[in-house]
Amino acid sequence: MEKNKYIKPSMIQISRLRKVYRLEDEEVVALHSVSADIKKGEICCIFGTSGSGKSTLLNQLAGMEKPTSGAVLIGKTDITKLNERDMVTFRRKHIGFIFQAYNLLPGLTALENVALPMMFQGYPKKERYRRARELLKQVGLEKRIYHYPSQMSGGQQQRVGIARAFVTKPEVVFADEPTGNLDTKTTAQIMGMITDMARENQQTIVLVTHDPHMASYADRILTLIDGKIVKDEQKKK
Amino acid sequence: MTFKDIASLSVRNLYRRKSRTLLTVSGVVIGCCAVVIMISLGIGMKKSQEQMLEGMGNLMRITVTSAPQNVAKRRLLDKKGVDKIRKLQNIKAVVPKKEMDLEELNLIAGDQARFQCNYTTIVGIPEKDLEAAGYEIKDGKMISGRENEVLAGEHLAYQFVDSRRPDGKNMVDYWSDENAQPYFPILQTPVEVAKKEEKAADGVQEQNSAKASWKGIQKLTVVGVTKQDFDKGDETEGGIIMGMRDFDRIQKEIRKETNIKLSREYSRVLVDVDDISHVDSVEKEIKRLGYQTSSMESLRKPMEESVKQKQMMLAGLGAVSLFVAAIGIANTMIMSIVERTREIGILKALGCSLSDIRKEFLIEAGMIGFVGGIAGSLVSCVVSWIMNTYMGASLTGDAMMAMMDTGSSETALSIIPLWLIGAAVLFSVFMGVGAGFFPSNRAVKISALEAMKA
Repeated sequence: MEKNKYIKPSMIQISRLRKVYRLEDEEVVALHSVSADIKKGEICCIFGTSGSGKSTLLNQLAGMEKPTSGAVLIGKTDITKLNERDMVTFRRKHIGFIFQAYNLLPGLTALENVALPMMFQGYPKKERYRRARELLKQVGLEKRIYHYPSQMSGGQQQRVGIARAFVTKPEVVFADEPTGNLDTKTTAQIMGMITDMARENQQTIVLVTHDPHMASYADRILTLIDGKIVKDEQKKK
Repeated sequence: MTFKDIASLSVRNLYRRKSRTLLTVSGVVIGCCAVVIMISLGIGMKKSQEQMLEGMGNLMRITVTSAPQNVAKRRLLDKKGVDKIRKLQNIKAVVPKKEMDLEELNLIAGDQARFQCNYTTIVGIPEKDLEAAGYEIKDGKMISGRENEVLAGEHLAYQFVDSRRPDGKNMVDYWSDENAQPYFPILQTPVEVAKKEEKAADGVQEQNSAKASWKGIQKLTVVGVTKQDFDKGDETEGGIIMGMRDFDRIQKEIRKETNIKLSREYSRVLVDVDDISHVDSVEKEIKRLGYQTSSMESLRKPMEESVKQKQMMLAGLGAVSLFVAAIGIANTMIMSIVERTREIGILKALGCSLSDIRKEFLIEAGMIGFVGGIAGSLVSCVVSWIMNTYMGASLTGDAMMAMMDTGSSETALSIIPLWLIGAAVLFSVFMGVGAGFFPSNRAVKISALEAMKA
């Protein structure tokens, strides 16, 4: 893997991405012409303080919001050109999500929450539960598969969230401050799991954080200030 | 997502909010119950009305007679005309009748015309239609086809006067004495159609009619006595029924022997329609052919209209409560969506297709309708049973009922046919889905990003 570092294909190509919010009479530029190329299998950290535009960037990359101009290619698809319906389909097939607030469905058990993306894809119950069990085992929650989110700690909930993000083996996983609500010890555990899983299947991770600590888990760090990439560090191992 | 998966998500969501779901469902139960009960009352009303009308006579019969002379399109009610009527649609039976009143002729029986009947009606019916005419034989047997075999009306025998008894005491009073027997057994006594010939030439006005002489025209054999039924014709009371061949021959004889004019037309044609709903159209058709018609339709129609109006009113009352229930469903669904905005956002972010989200909400709303519809129908059945058991007679015009004094009080107050339950459940489901449509659209339109910030 290390040897092929320089011939890795692109996974996400961001070209001159610009996002302007209109607030009454004022125009707020959240992203100034951002361009970047994230390779397949890369664990890329988008680092910035609050208000730097990092969340906005993530939303554009995940197709949750349309940019003012510019393009985002994931694989070969320009997701800025997709309508909402096709975007949802695209997310279902190619993208996983890990949220700061875990965002588990409160009415479903850990097992059902993990199996949810597979259910959207139409897998039969047996198969998706088998796979979900596997994932929950990997994140060390095999004893909690029938627990509801309200019966679990934050760390446990986030582990369910990770299992859910990886259950369909998506090419790209977006993680938005995944450890923002967790203590240091749990953070290390969670980050270890995310990176391990990603490396196992050569998945691309886009990690958004304001915590300099987190950057140490990434292969590459893009530092964002006022909607511009000011630093692009490639970590050498 | 498979339908099963979506449905199971819907069920879990409903289950998660038990009390609210239950309240909404009970709204539907009440609405559905109101409609079903109202409609069932309407059906009960209609049924009892139908029964009442049936008691009044055969509703599916049209009596055809020839139109009055001054009608331009008037047609002769002859064999050709009857054949035309037979060819019409939706007809079960056609029974043409010829009638002649014996006003100038008499029926005589017994030794030297001792028993005389001054007035009767002779009815001729084509042999092949005798069966369809539906006469019930009370005594004896049906005409077999032998010459001059006839049926006598139930009380024909009592119409004979015994000329050897004094005036005022020469008839059997069968009205006040139920056990009265006629002077002679009509089944065993030959009867003759005869013309009385006064011997006015003597110049003496004879009081005693026995002295009059009789000119026999035709001898008849009574083989059976019919049961009185005015619905089938007055002849069942005091007339004579015979095959058309005999009838025509007798008419010929009469023409030959007397100067009485007799029409070649059928006096009336009885048309039985196959279904009550066709009476009106068949009657119109026959009128178009140029005949006069009469049936119970003219009586039934307005009664039906008034029942229909009452039914509409009742159904309207029920519909109001169902409408309120629909609003309840819509409200519950909107509440549910507002509450689950965040969840919807998550679903979208995870790639749940928009149509699946919409389906989930529609199924939830439909399920509220479905459960409400089923429960509502069950409750209606119980309510209906209670009403029938403890409230008694139907809502149809009580005055009418008292007047008719028929067995119509046997009809239930509220009748719930199976189709009504099916329709109620189906309608509740549709109503639920309809009420859920707007909220589900709203759910689909929620932006994932905004939703997750919530």
